[in-house]
Amino acid sequence: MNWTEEDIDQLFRDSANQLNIPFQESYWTEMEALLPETKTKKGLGWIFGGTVVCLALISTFFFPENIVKLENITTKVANNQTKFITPTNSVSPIQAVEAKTVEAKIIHAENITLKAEKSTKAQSRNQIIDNNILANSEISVSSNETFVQHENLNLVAQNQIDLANQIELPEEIEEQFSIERLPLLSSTNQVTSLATSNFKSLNLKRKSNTLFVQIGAGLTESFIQTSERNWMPTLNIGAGYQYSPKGFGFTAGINLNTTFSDNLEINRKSKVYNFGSTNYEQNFKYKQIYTLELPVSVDFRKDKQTFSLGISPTFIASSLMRFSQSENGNLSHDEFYIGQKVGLNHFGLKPSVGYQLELAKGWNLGIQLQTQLMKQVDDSQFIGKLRDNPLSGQITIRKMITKF
Amino acid sequence: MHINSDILKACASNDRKAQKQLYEYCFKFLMPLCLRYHNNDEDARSSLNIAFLKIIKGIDSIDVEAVNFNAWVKKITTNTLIDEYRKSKIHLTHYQGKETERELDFYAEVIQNDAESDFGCAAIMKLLSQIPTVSAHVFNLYVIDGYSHREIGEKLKISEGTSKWHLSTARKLLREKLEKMNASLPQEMVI
Repeated sequence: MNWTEEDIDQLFRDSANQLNIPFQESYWTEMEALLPETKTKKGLGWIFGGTVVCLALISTFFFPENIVKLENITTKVANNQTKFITPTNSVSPIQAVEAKTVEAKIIHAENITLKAEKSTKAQSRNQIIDNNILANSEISVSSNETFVQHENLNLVAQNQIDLANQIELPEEIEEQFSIERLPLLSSTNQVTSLATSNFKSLNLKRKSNTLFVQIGAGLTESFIQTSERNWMPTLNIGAGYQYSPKGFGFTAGINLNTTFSDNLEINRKSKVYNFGSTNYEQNFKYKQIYTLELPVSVDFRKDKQTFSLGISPTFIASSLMRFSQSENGNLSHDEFYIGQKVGLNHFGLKPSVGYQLELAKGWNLGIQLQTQLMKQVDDSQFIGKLRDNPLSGQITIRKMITKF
Repeated sequence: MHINSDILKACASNDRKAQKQLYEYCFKFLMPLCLRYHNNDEDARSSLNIAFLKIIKGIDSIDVEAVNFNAWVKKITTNTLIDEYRKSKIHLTHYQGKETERELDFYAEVIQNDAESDFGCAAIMKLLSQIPTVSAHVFNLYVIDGYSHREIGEKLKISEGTSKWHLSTARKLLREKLEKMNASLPQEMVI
């Protein structure tokens, strides 16, 4: 056959147009490793973390806890005294006069209370109580020591104790509010004895030490970069100790975490020389990875909310994996194993940010966001691209089991 | 498979699903193009991936409604292939000598196998890898991709005259190889 220039050109043009190369998924995996990381997922994590931190700051700076508390105390003092005065008015004219004196003294006490807002919480609170007790003590001095008056004084003292019971004391006040200050409360033996016995029975200390158990569930970003699936479900169970006074505290615990994976595969090839040679191809497909975590965090508690910032050393303890091996191309093993950690890095470190809300007494609902700083897969044994800092998020339910 | 402007916009905003869809689409007509400039699948795919990265980065800069996307993509890929060739020019001329004999044996075998049944497209295209690289590139650019000698000269940093000479040489060598192929076919197949 004589090939003209046109024939040759046409033959190659047609061949080029007809050439069909079948597409394989593995080609995309290679390509995906070159593409820049998707920003949206990481962005979501940072948005969430940022929101938690912002909420913490807003709640700390924009809700002035001190003023609100002092206003509550003042209101409670006034309300309690009014309740006491009303029944005595209806009993006798002497008590009515005394009640007016009490009212005047209370107003005076409230003025002092308002001034005291500028000082510390502890001083303010003691001032309120001292002023009210002082007012009541003066009643007893200025009037005859009758049975009715003693009864009134007892009621006043009782009222103060009720009041004290209603006031939630910040921890820093609790130590100052000791029995040594009680002689100031009354000028009569009856009141003193009553007040002393009742104050002794008060349990003003809040229990800040807690042991807890918790369960949680969440999602973790895949350790490797893939297109089909990026998130692995996780389950965890744990226990720990929490020191949670108002303000700053800390938590330490232990968690057992199970991660369900279906795309983490590690392949090995080896050639063993004996009489002839055998080519071994091993495939490790991880189904579940069991991780032990030791989280510690610094917490900030405000009312029923707790914000935490922590770090959690992790240790891959075990796994459930499917192992298959072929010898010279023939499948010789295909079974599940527990305990293998081939190609995985044992240790890791996860910083975390968290938020907890007390749903009911002793029950907390929490949300936590973490990122793994260390690679969990040994990249020398893995072909593909590993994810740098996989994110994980989880929701936990925590049950406080003991407080002391 | 159809690629619309929504997919292209999603690709520009780094949507993985859309990017995969686009890659599959581009693979079908860009991979043969890359194979014309490379001797093996791996190198061709590597060039395709580099070109695809440029495509993804460049989508933002084009009007996806107005531009002929296929032509734009093809142009980027061709430019990428030429750039790659220029970068590895020195290395290739040094390296080619060592590989040629082995490769010729390999391709000769492939051609024979394919020729037994048909003048396969792949076998014909692989003839291009058996002629000098520059000549093959000039042939590709002029005959298949439709560039002029002036454009080829600019791309390959050669003169128009040299480009014409390479085209002529490529045709001559390809003719010889086609005739050889023809002669090696069993008689009953050559009717």
